[in-house]
Amino acid sequence: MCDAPHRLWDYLLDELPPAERAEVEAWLRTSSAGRAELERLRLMHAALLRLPEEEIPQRIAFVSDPILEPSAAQRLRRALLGGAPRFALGMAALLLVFFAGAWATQPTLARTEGGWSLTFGAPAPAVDWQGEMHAAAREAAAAEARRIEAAAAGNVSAAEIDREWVAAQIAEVRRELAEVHEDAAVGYELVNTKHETLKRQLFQIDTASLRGFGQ
Amino acid sequence: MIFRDVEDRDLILRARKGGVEAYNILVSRWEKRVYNYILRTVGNREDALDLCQETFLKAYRGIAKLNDPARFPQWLFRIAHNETISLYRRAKPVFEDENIEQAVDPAGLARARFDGTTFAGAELGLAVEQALGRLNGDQRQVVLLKVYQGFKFDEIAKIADCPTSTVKSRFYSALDVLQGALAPA
Repeated sequence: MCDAPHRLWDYLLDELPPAERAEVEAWLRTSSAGRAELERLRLMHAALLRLPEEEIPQRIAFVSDPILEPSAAQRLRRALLGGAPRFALGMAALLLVFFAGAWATQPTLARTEGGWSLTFGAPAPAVDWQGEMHAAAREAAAAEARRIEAAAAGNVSAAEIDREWVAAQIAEVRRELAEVHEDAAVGYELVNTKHETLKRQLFQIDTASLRGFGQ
Repeated sequence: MIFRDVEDRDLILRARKGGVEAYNILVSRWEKRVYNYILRTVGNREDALDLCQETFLKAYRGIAKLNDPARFPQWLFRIAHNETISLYRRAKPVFEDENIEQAVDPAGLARARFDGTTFAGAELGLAVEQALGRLNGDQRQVVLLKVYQGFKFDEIAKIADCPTSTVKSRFYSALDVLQGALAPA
């Protein structure tokens, strides 16, 4: 036992595991020299503890100062990264809410005349403005063509065909053509179609008039 | 002691969330121990108070990183230990001043020496202080943490950032010095 001179200090300071502690105690029961040495160490330990503690000359206290408080970024970082499980749980909940909302409301993003629009519920009907304008132009042109052909065939009296009105329309459409930029393809095509129709109408009127003269 | 530990744990958890008042209570419980540890290490009251304040300020700023509140004492004293180290690097500590023994009454010290049977009252404290002054910085810190703060060797190893075997070696060599000063053969 005495070959470990510091073992009694370990025993005194409760640093020995239970088995070794029991071994030292067994040795102390049989060794008067060991007990005397232990007593000497106890006295020395007690002597060391006689060193008086001083009171702190000035108490330390902190105030709720913004300098000491964590910044907004620190609070956010702590909230997000304070714990990986909490962060993962929060993100999972957020995704769940997002997809549940998407499933329930069926949002649709579509381009409208005034720009983009977000609608909920059934998908918004797609508005084909270009197609509708083309169709309207074709319909207008066809109607005019039918009228002109009817006039040319003698089914429409000359009174129904006002040449002056048609000529005025052509002049107006030409002004529109000059104003409509070619980049506005749909508008340009619509006005141009109208122009072509009116020219064809004027030609038909003139042809009918000539035919009338010949009769 | 268990009840006190639970209370400290609650205060630490509140302080981690930025609770200044909870932290102030925590400070009031630990400031005397930390102050005396630093004072006995650096030997100067003014420096000790400054370092003590700096220790608690750094502890407050870093307490959110303390995952296990049960490790608060070791963690706090590690900060204090690092603060004293930083002071050692800036200036020579008083305890290493060669004139330190002249500040102590040699006659009183002689009477106060431990003779195995009696102590000379208040003078013993002075003798112990004198004996501690004979230790080098590493030895003194281990003795302070072991004898006066009650840390285990492995806890001291973490505070001082060195192997446990080194801590034990420093402690036992310090005891030899102290024994020679307090109970000469």
